[in-house]
Amino acid sequence: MLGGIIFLVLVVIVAFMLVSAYNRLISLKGQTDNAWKQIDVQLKRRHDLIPNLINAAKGAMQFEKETLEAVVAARNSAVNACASATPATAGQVAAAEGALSAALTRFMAVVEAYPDLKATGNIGQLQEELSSTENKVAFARQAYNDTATMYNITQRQFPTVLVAGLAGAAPAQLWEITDEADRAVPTVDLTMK
Amino acid sequence: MATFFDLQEKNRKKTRLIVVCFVLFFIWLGAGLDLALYYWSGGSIRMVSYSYNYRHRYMSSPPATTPVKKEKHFHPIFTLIVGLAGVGLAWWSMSNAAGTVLSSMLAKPADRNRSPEEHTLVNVVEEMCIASSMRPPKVWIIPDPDPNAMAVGLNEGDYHIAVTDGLLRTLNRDEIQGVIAHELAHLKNQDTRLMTALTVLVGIAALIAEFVGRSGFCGIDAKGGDREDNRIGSLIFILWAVSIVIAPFVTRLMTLMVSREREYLADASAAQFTRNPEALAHALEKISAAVAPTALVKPASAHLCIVSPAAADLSGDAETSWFSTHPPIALRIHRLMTIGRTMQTKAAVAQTCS
Repeated sequence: MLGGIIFLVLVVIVAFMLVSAYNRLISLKGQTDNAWKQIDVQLKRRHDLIPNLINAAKGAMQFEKETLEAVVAARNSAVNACASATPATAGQVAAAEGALSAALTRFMAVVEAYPDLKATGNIGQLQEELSSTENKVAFARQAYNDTATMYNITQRQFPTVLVAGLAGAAPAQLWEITDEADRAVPTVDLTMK
Repeated sequence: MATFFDLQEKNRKKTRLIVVCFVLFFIWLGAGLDLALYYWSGGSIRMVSYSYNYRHRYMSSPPATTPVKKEKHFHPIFTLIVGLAGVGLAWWSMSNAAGTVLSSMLAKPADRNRSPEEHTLVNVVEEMCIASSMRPPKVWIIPDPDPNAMAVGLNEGDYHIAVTDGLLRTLNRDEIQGVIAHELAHLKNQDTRLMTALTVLVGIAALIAEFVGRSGFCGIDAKGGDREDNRIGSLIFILWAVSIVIAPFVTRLMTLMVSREREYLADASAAQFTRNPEALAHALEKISAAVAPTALVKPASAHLCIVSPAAADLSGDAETSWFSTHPPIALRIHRLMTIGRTMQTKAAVAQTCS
């Protein structure tokens, strides 16, 4: 009689553990998807910010037409890459975003040469917005990697691994830099030509 | 060498252990008396006090000539009273709005258009919310020239972060980022809820001690029953009485221990969010270098701040004071720098091996 009760209690405890493991997997999967979408949100925010930036700078920087046009062109190609993105073309999206970052960096460097623009216009505020946007994209990717790592680890731990198949849990891919050129430290050419 | 993930795991286990001890001690406070009475209930006990004659309900007073051996009964009366008082007080204190704390410090909401610093602050809060996968809390500014920051709020919809004027002026962008990450970590790890619950329990322990003290208890008149049981009952009673006396002191010490551990946890979480622990370490150095204590923060809210607002804790002493809500800043900086070195070593190893 007592043995029967103990056995029943054990069964209940094990069932409880499995149910909470299953729920945890579902929750982590949802968080991972959410974090992935968050990256897109931040990228789009960056695309939307750039026209404001160009307008603020256009008046004072007539002699820098090339730089301005480069930024606009990079932004448009990034928007196109994002719009037609599939998981297979993720590399193209990353490349387009990288090109946009490079164009923006050159643009901000050129702005430094126009002190009155910095002082009077709201370019100071836009600079802060821009660096904040770059940070947000970076943090969104970081948060996605952290969440995806947690999801991958939990899937393979015991006893969650027992219900992983049932929960439809598949390892999530981490966001990585695929283009080796991005990893290289940018060289600054200071020779006077 | 520990990564911030390892440190967080260790920290959470330690907190769980302390809280379990806390709860057990508390149960003992309620159940101890019931246990003692249980052992005594074999005979007839009469507790004598000046303020009222306490007659325990399951004892009678049989004539002294015939010692009666009765059935022992366990009535968890005191455990229930303590439990109900605890739940009641906890519910009452949790429903107190965070707004009262903030208004007592003359805080005003941050407006991104008011000044470049507030603009930066609002942006930094949004960035850290993305990094920590949290919804943005309300941001407040405290008009105090001394640098400090705090986080309040018990429920997910009701989180607030407050920052002093002095902090915005003293720290650069990366350091503000570290401080905000630390505060968000407190909210994410629900430290405010934990500390509120513990503070409530401390209050109840003090109340019980007060109540027992005031009842004017002065003696036990024991007759009959099994002598062995009576002795056990008396022993348990003495232990319980001693626990009651030291309860307020012990529970306060435990709460402070938990508070210090959660500070380390928040530091490690901030390192995870920013991936820049050196910035937070520099921020702590700069804040501790400001000698003046934060005047507007009341002692009751001290444990919510990033650096203890009390003057005594700013001395930079490396000794862990048992009565401090925060660990010594030198130790916190040391731990953060260790995390930083671990990150660099791992990155270097990954670089050379790839």
